[in-house]
Amino acid sequence: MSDVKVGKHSFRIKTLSSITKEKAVESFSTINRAIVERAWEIANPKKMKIKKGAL
Amino acid sequence: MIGCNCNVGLSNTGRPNCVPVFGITSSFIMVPLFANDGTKNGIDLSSALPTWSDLINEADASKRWFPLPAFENVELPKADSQFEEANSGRMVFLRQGKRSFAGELWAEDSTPTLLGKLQGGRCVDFGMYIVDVNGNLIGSQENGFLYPVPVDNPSFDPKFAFATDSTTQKIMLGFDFDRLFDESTMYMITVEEASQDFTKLEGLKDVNLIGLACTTTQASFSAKLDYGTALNKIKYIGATATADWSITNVTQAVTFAPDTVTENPDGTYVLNYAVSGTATAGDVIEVSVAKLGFSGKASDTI
Repeated sequence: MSDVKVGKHSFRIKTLSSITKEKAVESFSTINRAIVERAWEIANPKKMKIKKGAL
Repeated sequence: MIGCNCNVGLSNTGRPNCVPVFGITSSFIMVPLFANDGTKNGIDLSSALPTWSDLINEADASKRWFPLPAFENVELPKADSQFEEANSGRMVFLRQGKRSFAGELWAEDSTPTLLGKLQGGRCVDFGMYIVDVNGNLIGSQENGFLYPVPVDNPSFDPKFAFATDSTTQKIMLGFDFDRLFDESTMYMITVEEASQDFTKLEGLKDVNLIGLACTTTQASFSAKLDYGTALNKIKYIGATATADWSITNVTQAVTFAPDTVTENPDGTYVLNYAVSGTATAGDVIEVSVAKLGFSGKASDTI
């Protein structure tokens, strides 16, 4: 699977894996912020785990 | 039509058991005789058989296969051979008669929309692979290739017939095969050999991208098929994967996939390429349908 699908939106995993969550929100500003953040988190599970561990 | 080969006498006529025999003609696959690069379109029998769906989804239309729906009331008559007869009664063979086709597409396969697409065939030098009712593919074997049987394309004549009290709507198709085609070169590839029932192949559907508006970060448009009513063409829905689309910056000669695809409402799409795309003001952007089974594109200047 090369896409993350959230609601009516499909996000290319390769793109989301190459940018930060902030950059994703900024780049896809026409899409609801919560949806973009959710898609980014699905596409970047390892980055999410590292972040939780650091906390 | 072939003449006499003076280097041989009569040919041997024995045959092995269980030779394959063509079934009743069910449909055809239209193929241009030559691609735009000058190569002759055919199936190379000396290497692995192609992936058949690739031939239908071929990006180059001059190499693409165009399967037709199944025909009804098929006839393939052969005109009488021509002879010159002397006063003595002696006859000399002049030429074989031409092979013609007549068949009908019924009901949902008989729309005026399809009629319009078929009428374009008259202007292209093309041939037909014959598909029999068992799903076998029949063509002309020559020099290690199986080529489509050449059609006399100016004779290609699809006609629309309205429904009546006792008949359904139809497209009646008639054409002649090339009068010089040697029918003894016909061979088939069976369903088992091809791992494909050729009656199941379906041609690409055209998609019209309407109202394409591009910016440096996204393209928005609605997508509809040619079919439907005058007011409501059938919407092209469900192309929600980023791989279903391809975007080309024609000005900068760069092709890229969208970063996101949003379909809302059905048949209306927004493709975002803010991260992976290359686009600046004044560039011409071309959006293409990349989903298997469909074909369409449109362009807009940013």
